[in-house]
Amino acid sequence: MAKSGRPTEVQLRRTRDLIERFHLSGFSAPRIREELLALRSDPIDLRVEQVKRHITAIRRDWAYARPEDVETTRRDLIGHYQSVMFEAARGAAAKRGTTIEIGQNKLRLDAAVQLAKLVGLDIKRVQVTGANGAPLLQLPPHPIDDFDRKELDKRARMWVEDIDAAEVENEPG
Amino acid sequence: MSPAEYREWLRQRAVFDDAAFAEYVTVGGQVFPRHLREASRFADAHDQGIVLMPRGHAKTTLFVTRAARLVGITRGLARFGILTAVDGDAERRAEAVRMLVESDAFAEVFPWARGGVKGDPWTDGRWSIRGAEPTLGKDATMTTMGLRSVRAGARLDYLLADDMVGLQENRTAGQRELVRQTYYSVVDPMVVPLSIGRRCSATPCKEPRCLASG
Repeated sequence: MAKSGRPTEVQLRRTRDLIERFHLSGFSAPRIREELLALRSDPIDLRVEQVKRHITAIRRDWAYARPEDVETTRRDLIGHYQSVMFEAARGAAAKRGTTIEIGQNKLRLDAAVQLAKLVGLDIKRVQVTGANGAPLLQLPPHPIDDFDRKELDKRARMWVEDIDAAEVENEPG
Repeated sequence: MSPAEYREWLRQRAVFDDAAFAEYVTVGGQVFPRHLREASRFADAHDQGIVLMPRGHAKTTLFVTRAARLVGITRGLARFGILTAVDGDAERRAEAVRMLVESDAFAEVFPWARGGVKGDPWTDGRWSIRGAEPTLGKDATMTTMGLRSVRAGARLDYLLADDMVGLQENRTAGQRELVRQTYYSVVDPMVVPLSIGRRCSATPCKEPRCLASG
């Protein structure tokens, strides 16, 4: 049984890893709690609320650490909701004139709402760039606008050196 | 390259580069010297780190600028803590970060800030970005702490410890021990483990023992 008090970083990492694994298996927080208690070696005793807090932290870490995973999940969900919409349309057509048709149509509308959220149709759109990434609006004055050729060249050279130095640092070995 | 092209290139790079951010957002377009660019890359590469440089080498400038940039990237959702020897110093640094975040140039780099960034609370020592409050709960985007008056409770994703020992605080072995104990028992646990937490310490190397693994 885990000792009481503040867990060490190693314990916390183990707990997080286990909860993440169970969470990805689709287990609910109470179920995850039971699984943690049922561990053969060094079971972990957490309250359901604690498990939920871990899950929240794990999800936030996903968003920060693996933005590409979030994008993959978003695409998967879009595909999922599209397939739900098709299936619901088919189900409604097959059961026309019955209460099932109403249920299927409701499901289709719910899936459409979720889909709209996922692709961002529900938010007010603000265009931030013009063609080819150019500014849409005239940006306010900036000291850079008044740079002469010599100053620009000097700064550009500094950036080239800086980027080269970063690449050298990142080279393996 | 025309000034407009350079400006646009810099604006886009400012999202992920401290030096570009400083050049674009700070008043007067501060150009980072090479040692600050190296320090920035060092901070990028390490979750925890200590930057030791002699006085006057703009360590604080670097990390104030970096904190503002990270506020932009995280939309104020990450929790920052600034720790100095006394409250007033930490508040001045937080105020410097806030001034950058409030600037028009910041909103050019991070378009989400165009609608305004002022959240609740919005004081010198403690402030949150608008829209981030529900997620932050009882925490804030920026919290300031003085080493002599700090109390446990805040949860942080980033901790910037800057000038937390000065000549006065560092005079005797007892004072150094008190600083060390306060840091490790109260401040260091505030950084949430396994979050995006980072500890960065920018301080002159007067007493390395106090900061050996800070």
